[in-house]
Amino acid sequence: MTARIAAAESLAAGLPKLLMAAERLAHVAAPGAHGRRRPGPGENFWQYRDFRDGDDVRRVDWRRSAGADRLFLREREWEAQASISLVLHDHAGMDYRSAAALPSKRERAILLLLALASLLLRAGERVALAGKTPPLTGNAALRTLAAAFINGGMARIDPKSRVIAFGDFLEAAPVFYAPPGGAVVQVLDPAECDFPFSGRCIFDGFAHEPEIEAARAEDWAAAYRARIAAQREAVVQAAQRAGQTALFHRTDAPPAGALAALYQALSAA
Amino acid sequence: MIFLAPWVLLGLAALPGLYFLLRLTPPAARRIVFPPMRLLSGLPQAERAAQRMPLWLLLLRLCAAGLVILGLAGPALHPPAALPGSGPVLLVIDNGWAAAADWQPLMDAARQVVGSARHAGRGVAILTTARDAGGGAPVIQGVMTADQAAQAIDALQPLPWPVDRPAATAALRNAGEGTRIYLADGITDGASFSEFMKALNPARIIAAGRDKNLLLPPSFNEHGQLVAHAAGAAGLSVLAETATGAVLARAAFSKSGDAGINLPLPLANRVGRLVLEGPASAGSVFLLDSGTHGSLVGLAASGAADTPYLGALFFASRGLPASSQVITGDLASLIAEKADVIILADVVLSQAQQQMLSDWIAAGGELIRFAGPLTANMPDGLTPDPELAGDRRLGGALTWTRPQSLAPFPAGSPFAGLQVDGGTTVTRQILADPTRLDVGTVWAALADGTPLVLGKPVGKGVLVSVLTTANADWSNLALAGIYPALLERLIGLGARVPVHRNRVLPMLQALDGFGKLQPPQPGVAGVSARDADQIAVSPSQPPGFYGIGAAGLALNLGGHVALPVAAVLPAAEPLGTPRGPEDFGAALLLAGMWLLALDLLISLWLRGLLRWRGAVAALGIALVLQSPAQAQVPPGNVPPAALQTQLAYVRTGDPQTDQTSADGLGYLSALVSARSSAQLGPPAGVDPARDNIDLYPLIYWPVLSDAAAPSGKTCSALSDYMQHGGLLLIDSQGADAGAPGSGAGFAPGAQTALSRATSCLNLPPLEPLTTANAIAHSFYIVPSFAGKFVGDPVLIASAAARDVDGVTPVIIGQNDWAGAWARDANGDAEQTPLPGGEDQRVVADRFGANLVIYALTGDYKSDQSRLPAFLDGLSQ
Repeated sequence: MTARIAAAESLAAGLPKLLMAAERLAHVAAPGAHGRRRPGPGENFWQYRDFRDGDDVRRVDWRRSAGADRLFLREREWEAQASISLVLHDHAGMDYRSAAALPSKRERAILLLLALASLLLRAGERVALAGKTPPLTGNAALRTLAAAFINGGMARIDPKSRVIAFGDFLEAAPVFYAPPGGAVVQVLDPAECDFPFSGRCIFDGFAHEPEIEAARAEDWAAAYRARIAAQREAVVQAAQRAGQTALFHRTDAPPAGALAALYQALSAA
Repeated sequence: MIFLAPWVLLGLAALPGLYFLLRLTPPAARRIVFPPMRLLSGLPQAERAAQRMPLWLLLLRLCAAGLVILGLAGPALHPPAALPGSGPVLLVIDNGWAAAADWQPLMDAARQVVGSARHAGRGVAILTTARDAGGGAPVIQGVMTADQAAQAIDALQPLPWPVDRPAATAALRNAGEGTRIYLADGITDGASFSEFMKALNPARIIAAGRDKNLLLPPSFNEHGQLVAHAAGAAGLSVLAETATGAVLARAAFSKSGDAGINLPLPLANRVGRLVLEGPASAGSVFLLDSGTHGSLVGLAASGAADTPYLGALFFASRGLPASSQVITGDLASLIAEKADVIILADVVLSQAQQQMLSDWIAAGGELIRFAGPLTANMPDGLTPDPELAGDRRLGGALTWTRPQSLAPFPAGSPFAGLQVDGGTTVTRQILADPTRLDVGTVWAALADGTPLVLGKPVGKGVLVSVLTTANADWSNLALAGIYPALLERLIGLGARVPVHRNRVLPMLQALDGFGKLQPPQPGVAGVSARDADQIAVSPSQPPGFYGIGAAGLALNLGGHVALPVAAVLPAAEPLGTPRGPEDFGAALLLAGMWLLALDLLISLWLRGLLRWRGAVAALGIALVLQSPAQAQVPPGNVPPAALQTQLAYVRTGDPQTDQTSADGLGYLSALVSARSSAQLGPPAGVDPARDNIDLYPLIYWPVLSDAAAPSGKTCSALSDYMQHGGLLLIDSQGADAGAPGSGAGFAPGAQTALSRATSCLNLPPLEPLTTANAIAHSFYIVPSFAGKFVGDPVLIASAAARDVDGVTPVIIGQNDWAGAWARDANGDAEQTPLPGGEDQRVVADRFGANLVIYALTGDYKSDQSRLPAFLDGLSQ
């Protein structure tokens, strides 16, 4: 676990702290560390404004008002905190790797997930592992998150938090239920994308499906590639329908690229 | 090229069938685990038969099958040469002693002939020309098949006696017609060779071309040196070996066929056989019995013994056989120097001397006493029979009788067989007491029956009394021609049971055709010493050792067979390097198997059961198994001594000494490795001036008597080595001063060489090494510090000059330890320790092991020597 955290942190170290756009977090009620660039409850000075009728007299800033002939109020910046749920869509097929040198899809997904969590935590965000941990803050929370992968856990899912989902999403007709503003990261093995098999092959799945025999596997390659492309398209469509950003990652590609794409998707706008 | 099993080639006809079979069988499917199974379902299935084996794989398999079939068919190069004529082949083989030297090529030629006969389907008859071990005359072993003939040839051995040409001639005369092939040893073996050739012809003759060497009886030259003789051995060398096979000396033959063996007499007497270098045969071995051993003869007399013509021992010392070595001195020193025979001329013995001498005789000494005027009047007890005081004079002015001549020697006497000449007379003698005389002890008598020589065995030794003088005072015996013959018969009786010349001695050990000693065959007739000289070696009297107990007689080919004479063989083919059929089927089979193994790997790979890494590993393992194990090479420039503890010796530049040092330390390293947990590598030869000697725990430095003073660099390196924890063992290998048995005289000048060599070393003060020192019990408990010699003292640094732990940096001695340790490649000892032999070698080996442990561990055992004191202190 320590090695996994170290890998994730070293991956995340390459990117600046991830700060979500305040506007994208407007609906989040809980106050937090995000400066929302508008007056409200907070700790940092925002602006002085003239006293208006109906304002509480106790809020008058007498020191500022003494230097002029008007009354001023001291306003603070409204700070809010994002809550982000990270989800790993896990099943037996995630164990797949086509070559010993490649990581399995699960390993890669967890690496990306923890790297993202590390970035978010350093930015002061509240990060939860959906269904397993409550929203957590602080750098030390990364260990708790990683431990939850191994030990499991039970926690209420915050329905309003943004969701970033990792998985291979190979099921028929993928659907995403999440508040808009999240992201969907599809992680696939290169063999699943390219179908590099030839000759007589017998295919066997992870979930006790019946075996499928191909007399000449190379004949199937074109048809398969069309199907996998359609599947990826279906994932993108479903994500867009749910207001999510769809991202794609192959396990033979460097993980830093995927993290950079995630960073851009979350901090954009 | 031929095929030994051509019918297997029919299998090649099956290859096309195999081709179709392989074409029809699709390769096995790969099994792949794949998550997106859903995406695969319902894809159109291609035609299954379309999946064919790749062409290259098909060709590989056909090639493998073809190679296996060809390999099983037994292809062979160089088919056997065709034989002339038709019908059965008669193979005549000389299997006497002379064939042994060329036995292997002769047998190869015979096998080639049999192979040709097998190829042509002809029968083979065999005639061996020597009599068999039972004495049976050569007969033709009837026509048999080639396979039976090959078995018969495999069972043939050369025999240690000459071939029997007349009997072989008779057998040939009765032989039928047919092709004859004669495998000749190349010598005539007697006069009837032309008859033999006449009966043999016409025949194809294959002859061994090598000169036949025969060792002849050795002799002693005027210096008492053993000289080997041989027929046809010019340029070869002879080895003098002990009975157990240890080589004592090596000598080259001169053009005249003589080789002087340069050994001191004590060593020369240990020579048990002479062996000619070169191919082994019974003729190249000469067994020595006690008759060829020289004796160390001690002479003692009262007064000036060697005065020309008058001295008591002047004639005796000149009449001794050439093989004996003479020493003089008083009785005690003669016994101390281990004389075999002591001759006393008119010496009056004290009681103590009598006792000392009788003990020495009982232990195997031979005492010969001559009478004389001093002893005539006081006879003592040390005589075979009681003697009367006073002497008897014959032929003087006051006597009636004439000087008496010798009577013929009685049959039981050691002198039996010597011819008495009438001119030998005795004018004065002392008398044995006739009333108490034992007739069996009279070995020689005068014509009137008066005993002249009395003798009898006492214990293991012999006591002889000659009742007249050893010089010409009392008789002219000392001037007679028979005098040396009498002395020769007398010398050599000691320590060896007197050989009864008429007694038939049974066989103890027999020489086989290759000159190795074997247990004798039953049914061998014995020989008697009397007619040993006239015996011709034969199956009933084969060469070897005869005797009872210690009294041995060696019967050799040399002197008992005709001298080898090269036979004239017209149109003889030389024994070339026969090229039997070279079967290379095994190589083809191996190649086929390799291809099949490759095919297995490929199949596994095609099925996805084998990753590339696995395939490479499997190939690598196969290659490693194929190639012999590679020795581990130490990386870079690391000296081997840094990786494994090694002993070292200083190279002297004398190859013999360096080899002995290397062998000695090599044996020592092996001994210590086997006996203790120290693991030592092979020893290293070092030059301290150039090599780094810091890494060696023990350096052995043999100092040769002609060694120059070491260079300054050598000195500083060795001094430095001693000061910083090394142990230097300096061995001058036999000093020129020392106790008895110190090897004094083996290396004259050693003492000065030692002081020359060590003059520049920074030596600490020295003191003698005693058994109280830790060296004496660091591993074994050793009673002395013997090497090849046992000289004292062995010196170590004095207690004050040792290091903190009390370990000496240097040991100086002259006992030639490496000579005692050295074993050759077969593990046989190279040199003989003196005087203690193998017992002394055990002590030397143990001392060596102690030295190594001492060098490695320091003095941890020295506490042990104080242990009794500790225990005493505890108990109080």
